[in-house]
Amino acid sequence: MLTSDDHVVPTPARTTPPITILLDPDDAWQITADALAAHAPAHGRITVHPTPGITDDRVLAHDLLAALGKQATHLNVQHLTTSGAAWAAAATWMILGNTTTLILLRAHLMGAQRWKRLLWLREETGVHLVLIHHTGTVAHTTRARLADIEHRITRDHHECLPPPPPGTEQSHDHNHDRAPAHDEAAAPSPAMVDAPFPRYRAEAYRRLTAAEFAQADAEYRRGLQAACAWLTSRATCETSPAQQDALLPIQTERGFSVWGEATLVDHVLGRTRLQPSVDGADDGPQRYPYPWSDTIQLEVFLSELVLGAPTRAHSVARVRGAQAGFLLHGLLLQPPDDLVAAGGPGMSYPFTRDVADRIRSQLAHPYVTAALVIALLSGTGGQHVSEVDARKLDASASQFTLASGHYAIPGYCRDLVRAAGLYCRLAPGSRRLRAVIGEHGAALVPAAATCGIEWDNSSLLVNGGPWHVWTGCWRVGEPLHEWHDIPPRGTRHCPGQRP
Amino acid sequence: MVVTEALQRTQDNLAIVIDERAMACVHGDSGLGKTLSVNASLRELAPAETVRVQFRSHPYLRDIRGVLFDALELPGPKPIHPLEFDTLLKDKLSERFRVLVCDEAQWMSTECFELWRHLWDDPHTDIAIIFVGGANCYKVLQREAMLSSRVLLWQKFEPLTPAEVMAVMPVYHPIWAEADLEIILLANRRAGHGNFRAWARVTVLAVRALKHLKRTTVDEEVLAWVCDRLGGQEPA
Repeated sequence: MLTSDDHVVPTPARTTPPITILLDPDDAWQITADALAAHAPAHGRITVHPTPGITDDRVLAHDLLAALGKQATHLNVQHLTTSGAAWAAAATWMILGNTTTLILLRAHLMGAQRWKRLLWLREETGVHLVLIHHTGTVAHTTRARLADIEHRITRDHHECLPPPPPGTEQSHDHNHDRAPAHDEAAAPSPAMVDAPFPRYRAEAYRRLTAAEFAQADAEYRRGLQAACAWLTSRATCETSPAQQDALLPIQTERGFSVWGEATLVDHVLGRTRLQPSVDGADDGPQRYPYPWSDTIQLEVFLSELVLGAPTRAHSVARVRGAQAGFLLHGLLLQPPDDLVAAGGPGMSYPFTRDVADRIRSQLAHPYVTAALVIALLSGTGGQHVSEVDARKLDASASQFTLASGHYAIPGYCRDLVRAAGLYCRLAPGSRRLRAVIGEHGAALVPAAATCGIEWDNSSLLVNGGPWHVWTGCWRVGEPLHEWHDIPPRGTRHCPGQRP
Repeated sequence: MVVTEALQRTQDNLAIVIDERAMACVHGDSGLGKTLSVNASLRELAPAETVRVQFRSHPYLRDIRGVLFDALELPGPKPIHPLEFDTLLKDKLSERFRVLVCDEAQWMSTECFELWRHLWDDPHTDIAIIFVGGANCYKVLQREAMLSSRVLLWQKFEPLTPAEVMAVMPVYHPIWAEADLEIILLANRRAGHGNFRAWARVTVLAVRALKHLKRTTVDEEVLAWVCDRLGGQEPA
């Protein structure tokens, strides 16, 4: 069962169960009630109560989407204007939600086109179809359709309609979540502290209240620990231990350092804006500092660092903490000087779990969900997002790449992005997101509004680039400790610190 | 309001239907007091919860949706997509308990009844539905298995018996309180036929006849004057 928190877990190959036709000759209300009570999406079982009086197979797909938890709004209908699109979207969400059983009421009223779509859905998803015919017999046309398909006919509704698991929610095709709350105010957050890394914590201590500082410090330590864990898990040294021992130390005297007249101390304390110049690049690093080479993974790490941060202040605190962690590992992490005003992950829009849930429940078209997630995570406008190729959104959907940089996708919304790749396979057509959201992503604005998200499709990137792409990283020395040796608060010395 | 046995029975039946959140069908020839009895009962039992709807002959589904939308006082424009429309209706009907009274139900098609069933079957809506209809309403609803399995009560309105006429008419209007019981029975045989609507017409004309003939009590001559103007009509 895939949850929004999980990475995508490959579903083992399975054989499609035979179709079950449940006869209900008396059209008894109890059978309908049991079928509706059997609805349990979290357990892979959905019941569809079709909109009455409609033969259009597209509307049945919309009914199916509603049963999967998508709000029935005009927006969803607008984006799924063709039958193929609607059924592909339904199949996509069923696969991602690991739906194993689909119970369909009023199935005796289905026409040829609905049957065709339903059988296609069964092929693509492997779902067990339980079709309730509120008649005493199966029509000849239905028998003919099922002639070559494994199926069984029964009147035992107790066997076909199990009771819902205990504690199962009973929200149904009209989603009982009311209109989503607009962007909720985050928990009381620390006020923004505009100070560079070396002075950040001290400034926060001076300026914030005790409660605010506690929050800021918690985020700072979170960033520090994340940095240490990440660096420890990688081959962080671009040079071998022998090469490291041979590297000359950074010049600390004025006039001789790579920062010209400034020293490393000047630079760390923010007294200089100069970038260090590196010599001997062709022969490999001769001395500290030298640049961090794996910039792509650094971008992904930094974007992941601030995932779920409810405010910009939280993000800044985490980055400052990460800078401390990097320095403990001999690395100088340099975000833009104007980090507090920068755009990009964690700064442009607080993409929390609640936001992901709102997108999941309000939007049905996979291209729209993916585009909105990408736009909000990256802080770019719809124009850039519209160029995304759905086929290139990888199966794990753990990260994505735009012209502006590389970004991590939090676990709690990977299904929303993965959906686009899956949909692209199920509904052959344009693979670019612009096919649905428009050349400039115009469709994202009403989509965001539907989800209660205040977003106006303008790029929120300052100076044209996101902060995490403009963050430099330099190796300036050897690591000082292992990541698990982070001292608890109040401890003066670092256990495990190398002499 | 004249309290008849049928009215009393209607009120008792609707109290059960409301408690059980069920469906009911009140049927019978026109003019027998079905609508009046249902409305009077619901004014007592569920005055704030009752929503009355009535449709033109042979309504389409979109008519049902549109009339319900208006009757429930939903804001904004009516949705175009039927799923969105039904979702809106079901959301509204889930807010609190309501009694939906659908008059002239015999005009509706199977498709229309599917919508009523759909709204009632939904696990979140909180409704009771009363179908009220003419003589063939019973046949029409009974024909639909989805309704016959869901309707808890069927109440048929019959014409008033002669004994009921003799008991009710003197209470209904003072001119009958003064009239001889034989005259009342004669009026019933010739024109009233146990039908409230017919008796309403007879009464209006009898009042005029008394004035025209300068009488104070209804007698055979007054009745003849009335029947002459009714043209020998059978009760509707």
